[in-house]
Parts: sequence; C-alpha cells; structure tokens
Amino acid sequence: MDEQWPKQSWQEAVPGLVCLPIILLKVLLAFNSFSIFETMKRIPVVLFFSLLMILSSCKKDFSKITVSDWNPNVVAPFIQTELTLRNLMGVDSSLQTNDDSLMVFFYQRDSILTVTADSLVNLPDTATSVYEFSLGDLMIEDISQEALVALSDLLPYLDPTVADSLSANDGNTTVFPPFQLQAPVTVNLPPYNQYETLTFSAGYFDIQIANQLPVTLKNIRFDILDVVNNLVVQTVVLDQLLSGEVAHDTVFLEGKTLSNTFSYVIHAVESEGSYPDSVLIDLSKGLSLQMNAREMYVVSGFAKIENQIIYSTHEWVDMDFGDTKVWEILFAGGELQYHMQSNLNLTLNILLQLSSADVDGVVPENIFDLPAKSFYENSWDLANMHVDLTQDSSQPYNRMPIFLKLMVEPTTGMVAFDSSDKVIATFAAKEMVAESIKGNLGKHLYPIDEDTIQLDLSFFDNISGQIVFDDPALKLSYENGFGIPLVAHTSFYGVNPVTGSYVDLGIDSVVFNYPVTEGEVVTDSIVFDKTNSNIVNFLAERPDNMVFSGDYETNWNNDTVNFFTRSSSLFVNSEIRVPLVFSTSSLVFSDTVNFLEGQADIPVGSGALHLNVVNGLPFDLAISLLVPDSITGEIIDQVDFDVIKSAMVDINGKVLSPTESNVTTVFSKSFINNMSRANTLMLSAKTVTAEGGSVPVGLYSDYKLSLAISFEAELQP
Amino acid sequence: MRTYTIILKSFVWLMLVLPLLSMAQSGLTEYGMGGIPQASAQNPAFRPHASLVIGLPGMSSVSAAVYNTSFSFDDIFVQKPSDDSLHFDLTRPINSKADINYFSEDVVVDLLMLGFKIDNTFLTMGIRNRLTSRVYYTNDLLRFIWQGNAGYIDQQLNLSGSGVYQEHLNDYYLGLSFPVTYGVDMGVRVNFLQGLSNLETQTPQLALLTRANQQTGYELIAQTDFQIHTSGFSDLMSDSTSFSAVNYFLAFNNIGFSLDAGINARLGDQFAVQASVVDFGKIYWYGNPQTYNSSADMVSFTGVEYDFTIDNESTPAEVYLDSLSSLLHVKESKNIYATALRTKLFLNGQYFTLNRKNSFNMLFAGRFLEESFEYALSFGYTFAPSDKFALKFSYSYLKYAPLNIGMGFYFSFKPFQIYFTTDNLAAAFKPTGQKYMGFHFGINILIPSVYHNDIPIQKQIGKTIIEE
Repeated sequence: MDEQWPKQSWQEAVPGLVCLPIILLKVLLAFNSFSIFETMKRIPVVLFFSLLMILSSCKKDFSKITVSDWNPNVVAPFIQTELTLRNLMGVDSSLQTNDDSLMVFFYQRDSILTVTADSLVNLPDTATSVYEFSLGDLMIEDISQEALVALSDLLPYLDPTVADSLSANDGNTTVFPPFQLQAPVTVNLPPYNQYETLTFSAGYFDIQIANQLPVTLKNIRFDILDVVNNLVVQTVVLDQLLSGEVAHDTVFLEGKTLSNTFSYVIHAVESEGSYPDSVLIDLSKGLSLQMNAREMYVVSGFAKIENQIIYSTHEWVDMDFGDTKVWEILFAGGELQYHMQSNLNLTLNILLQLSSADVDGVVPENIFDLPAKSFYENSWDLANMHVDLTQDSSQPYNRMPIFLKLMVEPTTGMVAFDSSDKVIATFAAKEMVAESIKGNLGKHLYPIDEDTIQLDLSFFDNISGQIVFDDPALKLSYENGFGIPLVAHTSFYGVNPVTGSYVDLGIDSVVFNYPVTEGEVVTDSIVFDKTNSNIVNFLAERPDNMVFSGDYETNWNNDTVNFFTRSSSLFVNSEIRVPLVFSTSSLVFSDTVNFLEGQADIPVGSGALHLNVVNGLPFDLAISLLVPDSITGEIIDQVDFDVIKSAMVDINGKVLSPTESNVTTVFSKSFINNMSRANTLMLSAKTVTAEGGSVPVGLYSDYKLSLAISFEAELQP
Repeated sequence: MRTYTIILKSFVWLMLVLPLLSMAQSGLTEYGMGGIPQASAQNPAFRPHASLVIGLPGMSSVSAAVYNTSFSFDDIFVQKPSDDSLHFDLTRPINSKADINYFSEDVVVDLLMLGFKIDNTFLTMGIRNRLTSRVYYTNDLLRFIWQGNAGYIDQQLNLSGSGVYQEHLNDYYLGLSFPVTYGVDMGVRVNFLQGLSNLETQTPQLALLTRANQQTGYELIAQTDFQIHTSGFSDLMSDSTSFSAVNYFLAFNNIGFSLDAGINARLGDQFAVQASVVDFGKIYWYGNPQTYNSSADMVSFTGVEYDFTIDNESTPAEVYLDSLSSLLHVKESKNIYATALRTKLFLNGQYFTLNRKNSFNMLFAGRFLEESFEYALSFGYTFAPSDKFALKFSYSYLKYAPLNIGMGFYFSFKPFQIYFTTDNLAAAFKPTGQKYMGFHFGINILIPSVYHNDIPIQKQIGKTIIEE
C-alpha cells in the first residue's frame, strides 16, 4: 500500500492540482471580448499574468511538508510469555530430565575403543615344517651256519702213516696216534640266501669251535674267508682244545662289507695222540665249526629286507606365532597339509598322528603306504581341532607334535638299499583361524587411533563466562571378553573453539577388569568425576569436542595366563553426564538479533519497556541491549535493565519461591538512532547464581520465568 | 491480517490525504444557471438554451468538491517562523467543538453527454462517473492519532461514529425536461447505476481505554462494535498487482437505480422558484461483497502470548498485530447488501430585473448523510449581458465553513460553450485555508436555440405551450 501512495508523490501532486483550477479561472477572467481570435491573441498575456497570480497565491512549498512534530506517545501491553527452563534450553536430545526434573546433559558415544581378537593375535598365513627321515640301519635277521671238518677230511693232509693208521682203526678203540696237519684244509660253506652283500653298522659273527675227537687238539689256526671278496674276515687261533671242549670267538661286523659266501681255511691243527690211552677212533668225527650271525644292522647292501620299523618318533610343526606363546589352540578353520616324498627302494607303511590334538575326542591320524620312489600328500582340516602345543619340553608352546611311524614292508626278493636314502616329510599349516587360544600374548602396545567425541554443547554457544558444574562425570562402560590384562594409556583433551585454549581431562590410564575363567565376559564401568579427573575444569573451558588417543597394553601386570576366543572383544562406550548443577558469578548469555530485517528506520523516537518478571530461576539476571557498530562490531551504545532478582533458594540452591521484579528501561532517542543504524542488536543476559555465585544451583526443567512486557513509545511516523 | 492492514491504511489515507487532492468549487453557485446544460444534474427540470448539446467526452463536466468540517489544510500544516517547512500538526483539529467531524469529497466526471430538444421536451442522456467519499472522525480519534494514548491513561477515548463511506459508480442516465403548464417545467431523470466499488462503515461503536496494570504494565480495553461492507475491492485487497482497470470499470455486478426529479416554475415575469430532489435510489452490491463485522462489547488486551523458545513462523510484531486483529473478533462474511444514495434537496428562489440581465437568487441545499443532514445556504447575483455569456457571484454558508464567496460563468463561441463555477473563490487565492472547496467546469458543443436569458419565452395557445 505504501508503494501505491508514496508520501512524496502526493506531496508533489498537491501544488499542481490546486493551482490548475486557479490557472483556468484566471485565464477566463482575462477575457473581455467574446472573439475567439481576440482571445487567442491574448493567451500569452493571460498566461503571464496568471502565472504571476499563481506565484503570489500558491506560495506554500508542499515539498517541505514534515511530520516531525507528529510524535504520538503510545503505551500498550506487548507480550506475555512463560519460559520454562526446558523450553528455554530448546529441543536438544542431549538434554535429559531426571525424575526430580533436574536437567542433565547426557551424551553417549558407543565404541570409542574396540579391541577384537584378530587385533591381538595375527596367525601366520602359512607355517611350514620340513623333516627328512634317512632310512638308517636296517636290521638283518640272525643267521646260523654250521660246518664239520671230519677226521676223514683231514686224512689227505696228514702224514700218510698216520692217515693210514687212522683209517685202519676207524671204528676201533685204540691209541689215537699223534698227527699234524701237513697242508691247509679249506672247508667251503654254502652261500647265504638272505643277501648278497651287506655293509654292517653293527652285528656279530659268533664262532663256536667244538672238538669232537677223543684227543686234545693243539695249535689250531684257521681263517674265516669271505670268498667273494677274498677277504679274511677273521683268523681264529687256539692253542689247545681239549677233547669235547668248545671254544668261542667273535667277529665284529661294524664297518665291514661282506658277501654271503664264506669258507674256513684251516692252516694248522695237531694232536699228541692219546697214548697210552686207547680211544675210539671215528673218522666221522672231527672239528665242528658253527658261525652264528646276530644283531646285525646294515647300512647298505643287497638283501631281502624283513618287516621292520625304521622310525617311530614325534616331530614338531612350529606354528610360527612369533613371540606370542600359545599353549592351547582350538582352531576354527585352516588346514594342515602334509607331503611325504620317498627316495627309498622300499615300500614304507607310515603312521602320522597329531598326538596332542583331537577333534571331538578323536586323535587325528593317518596310516598309509608310501611305495618306493613315490610321494604321498594329504591334509587335515583344522576346523574344530584342539591342539596342545606344550608337548615339546624344550619349547612348551607353539609346537604341534606329530607322531610318525615308518615301517619297512618285507621284500620278497633282494633289493638294494642304502641308509642315506631319505623320506622327506613336509607339514604346512595354512589359513589358520583360531577359535580360542590359551597362552601368553606377552607385553604389547597397540595404538588407539585418535578420535573425537563431539560434545555438542550447543546450549553453550551463546554463553560466555565462568561456569562450574558441580558433579559432572565421564563414564566408560565396557564389556571385556579377553582373559588378558589390558590397560589403556589415554590422552583426553578438549579445545575451546572460541578461545582455542587447551584443557586436559586428566585421565592417563584406564585399567579394564578381565575374565578369570574361559567363556566369561566382564561387564563393568569406570567413572571419572571430580575426584579422579579434571572434568570440572574441562567442562568449564566448554570445549566443543573431546579428543582422545593413546595405546593399550596387554599383560601390563605380568600375568601369564591369557585366553580368549575368536569372538572375544573389548567394547568401550562413553557417557558424559553433566547434571546442570553449577555455580557462576558471571555467566553471560548473548545473542544477536537482526531485528530490523531490512528496514532502515525505526519509527520510534524514544521509548521504554516495562517488564514484569516473576523469576523462578535460581539466578539474578542483568539484561543489557547492546548496539554494535555494523562494520567494526564495537559496542557503540547500550541500555542496561535493572537486575531481575533471583528466585529464593535454599541452602542447596533449589528454588523455594519465585521473585517478582518490575523493571523499566528507557530507550533514549540516541540509542534508538544508533540501533537503527546498526541494524542488529545484541542481547546480553548476565547471570549470577545464589550467594554471589558461591552456591551451586540446579537447573530443573520446571523452573520458569514469567514475563509480561509492555511498551511506551514516542512514535515518529 | 493483510486485509485489515489494507483497510487500516485505506482509512488513514482517506482521512488525511484525500482532502488534499480535492480542488475548489461546487454546485451551489451553479444552481439555477440554466445556460449551463450540466446544471440539469441538480435539477432535471433545467433545460439548456439549445436544441442540441454534445458534451465533449470526459471534458463536458468535471466537478469536484471537498468539505471538511474540522480543519483546512493550513490548520494541519503549519508554517513555523523557525523554518520554511510545513509542519503536520493536529493541535487545532483536536480542539474542535464538535464531537464528530467529517470530511466529504465528491468527484463527478461526465464521460458522455448528449442532449437534444424534441418539441417542447428536452432529453438528456449520458454516462457519468461519480466518486463520493466521506470520513467521519471523532476528536478522540484525532487525539489518539496525534497524541497517542499515553496521555490518556484511565481515560476512555471515544471513537464511536468514526467511519468511512466511499462509493464509486457509473451513472447511465436518461432525463426529460418538459413543460407541464405555462411557466412550469418539470424534469425527471432515471439513472441506471453501475456500482464499481463501495466501502461503508455502519454504526460503529468504538472506544479505547488504556489502564495501568500491575502485572502487564498496561491493559487496553476496547469496545469494537462495527460493521464494514466492501465491494469491488477484492483485487486491490488480495494483490494490488492483479488489479485491472478494465475489469474494474466493466464489471456490472453491482446495479442500482435512482430517480431525480425537479421543477422550475416562473412566478410572473420576475420571479421563479426551483426545487429538486436528486439521488433518490439504491445500489445493490453483488460483486464480491465482503462484510467485516465485530460486535465485541469490551475487549481486554494484555499482550500476546508468545513462546520465544520455539521456531515461530511469525515475528513477535507480526503475532502482535495478528493478535490485535483477532481481538476485534472480526467476522468475515459475503453478504449482498444495499446502500442508499445520499439524497440531495434543492430549493431555490430567483428574482429577475425587468431587463432580465440581472437576477438574484437564494438557494437552500442539503443532503442526507449517514447520521446527519448537511445543509447550505447560498445567495447569488447573476449578470447575463447576452445569451452567450453570464457571470454569477454568490455567497454560500455552510455550517463549518460559513464564508464562501463564489463565482461562475459560461461563455459560448459557436459551437462551443465553456463554463466554470466555484463556490469558494477564495480557494483560488488561498486554497489551503479553506474548509470547503468546489468547482465545476466543462466544454460543450452547443447548438443554441432562441436566447431566453434563463427564462424561456413561451407562449400558450390554448392548452399548448410553445417555446420560441
């Protein structure tokens, strides 16, 4: 509507409109003739005089109309409002109300620290162990071979006289004549069919020499000859061998390589005869030679091999857990692969057994044949396998025992063999996933990445000054499933976004309780309040967020028993709970109001506001209206209201009854002019709690301030 | 809210600004100047000295009048010795003796006009655009506007009777003037009225009491009993940019009829009397009628409830104004209504000298306003040296503007006639000092008949009256 009838336009229109009829009138009065032509001639003269008359009569300058004297004084009630603290604080999910209506700033942030099992133990992707098994010494069964050098065999090699005598008295009892072997006698033994040649690592040939003749033999000397190798294995020398007497000798086989064909070469034997005694001469009797091979172990050769165990032992798969000592582990997944490569000419029957492990009570094992010059591979699924890794006394952790039993299958024919031939066994644990671990993780530090908790103390945004909360608390609640002593070395600090000042919360370490029995989860909390932290001063600085970082340490107290499962975790949640009980001597709330909203002028010369306040709040209010310079922001003018007195409070700072105040504030013309130029207005409300700020007061949501505002204004339309 | 604001602003505008736009002269001097065809507007019995009259479109008749019972321009715009500015000052008006004052404004423009003579009957027809406004105000209302209410704590400000009447219409008329007997002419005019817009306040009972209040500081107690009819303003009130002048002037939603009648009787050769009644009729307002009704006896206002703690869509000031409006308990309805034209009465007596070049007259004029009867007396002297020219001077008395010297003339130069009348000649020299101003002027194409010097020469032959 203002645009339709601007003040300036009608003011400007008035002179012309008023004078128009006057002009017309004066023109008409100028006629003294009825001739239109005469009239036309006189028009300039008429207009000239008309103009003079207009100037003389319309002297008012309508462009200079002013309403500066129009200053009506109006009074009127303006606003009635009731401000409860709950409404005053606004809709803020961080503000909660206790049952007793006390307002509490509550902030919760879950999982400010999360520790999972895989962050504590990192199982290797693959743990490989390789073992070589040499064939070693094979056992050869005992062999016994007997030979008789009968008297008749010796006759050709005796003096012929003696030989004849003996031959003549064969079967007779007579004096046995003395004799002496004239030339060596060779007695060949049949070859052994158990082998062709062998190299012994141990073993014995027991030689038993028995004198079947009825006379004493003396100076007996014979060789045991390896016929194939033409090697004298042993030379036996006996000084005397009584009739019926048996003599023994032993050949040590270690280090010898022998064929399977032997002969006795008797170099000397003699007797003095039985004279004067008569004895039965029996040519079939003689010198009995018996050779017993026993306890033979061979390292190579060509022989028939009998069934025998060549290895029965425990080997160890090193799980490669680093310095983490795992005593027991229950796998959730993974695979233990094994590969057996044989370079032997022998077929092996192999037993593999994870002797300290079980799957549902069954010890994992595998029996299989490994043919000569071949390989075998297989694997065990580690899932659900429980393993005791302490069986190695030299390293009672991280070592999985594997029992191996290698048996040689008996051969039907002779086979060549060598003790250096090997069987190579490879064990590889892959993709291990632990379901549970028991052991000792050692002392380790793990970093806590820096994180920020937004405190969202938005209701502080427009508040300055010192505020001291009475009983704020930071509660760290946690669930700990690790049977591990854990401590977090922390740094909590905040920064005031306005002043930039830094303040430490004063929490250096957080010790977490932990389960003492497997499967237990400890749920607990730690509260940091004014007794054990710097939280009061921390909040007094009004940081907009809380930054925390640090590290956590395992086995900080040298505890040696750790256990945890794959699902074990430590979750730490934070709660900040600040009951709005505080004291202050100079808390200033301020806000900027863009009250003109684009209008340049305030049509008010001066004025006053009358406030009737029923104050149910437990603090004095000193309200000021400040006018900032629109460019520099410097306060160029201000109006201070009389102090609105605090409600009556008890010794605990709780409101007993509201206090009524009537406040009148006059706005001078200069203030309104300054306000008009500034375009903005700052509202400042300084509060002081009871007893000059020494008594903490609580903010209860039902506290309220009732306000009735009326105004008196000298308008300047 | 916007509607009320518009009404409020319109009220203030009409009250303070409209008089300043009005210009001098009215019809008191003109009455009886039979040589002016448009004089028949005041008395249908008047007939021009012509056989044919053609009004120049839009220029044949332009008249405006303003009458303020309380103050003149100079009364409210005061020049002080200290500077050359005109200071708006309502000190004088607020001390008026009358409790209720008003100012009225009438603007009439003939858009088309045609008149011709058929035998003894003169027939006129045309279209006339008429704007009539009146604003009533009490002294307390002016005091409230000028001084505010701070000086009237615990005193009631009486605003009853304050109101606005505005009517804008096109008048399609057909008039006849004919002799009924020797020396007596009678005229009748039938008007078809096309209402364009209307604003009318009815029987307002308004009062404002400001009281000191312990709890709220102040308390406003108001009596708000009024009814406002409007029609034709819907476009203006909803959105001024949607206003279409064509739609406005071609809307035939509001119709009415009125009748004008008059008589002009010669009493011998030197005397004559004329009497007329005009604007006897009604307009029925069908086009977007809006009625704002408030019938609250006493309304107490102690401020608005405002919650600063929530996101309000409106500022406190907006809520405040809305609350003030709602306190009036204004009910809005769309009821068809009718308004009566403000009927005017004229009674005039004339004396002619023997040569008929001079005449004197005395006029009683009045009109029925909303709550009163406004009257005026006028005395005039006319000098008519020829049939082409007449000059008249008058003195007019109005109750609140008792001293008005008027002047009028018409001047014919074939085929044109130009005329001009004003009731207050002083307005030409000092318009700002006048409470009453009015003028009427126009240009006609006029084919004259026999010159009669105001009184046609008639002869009666038997029962037949012959006009020479």
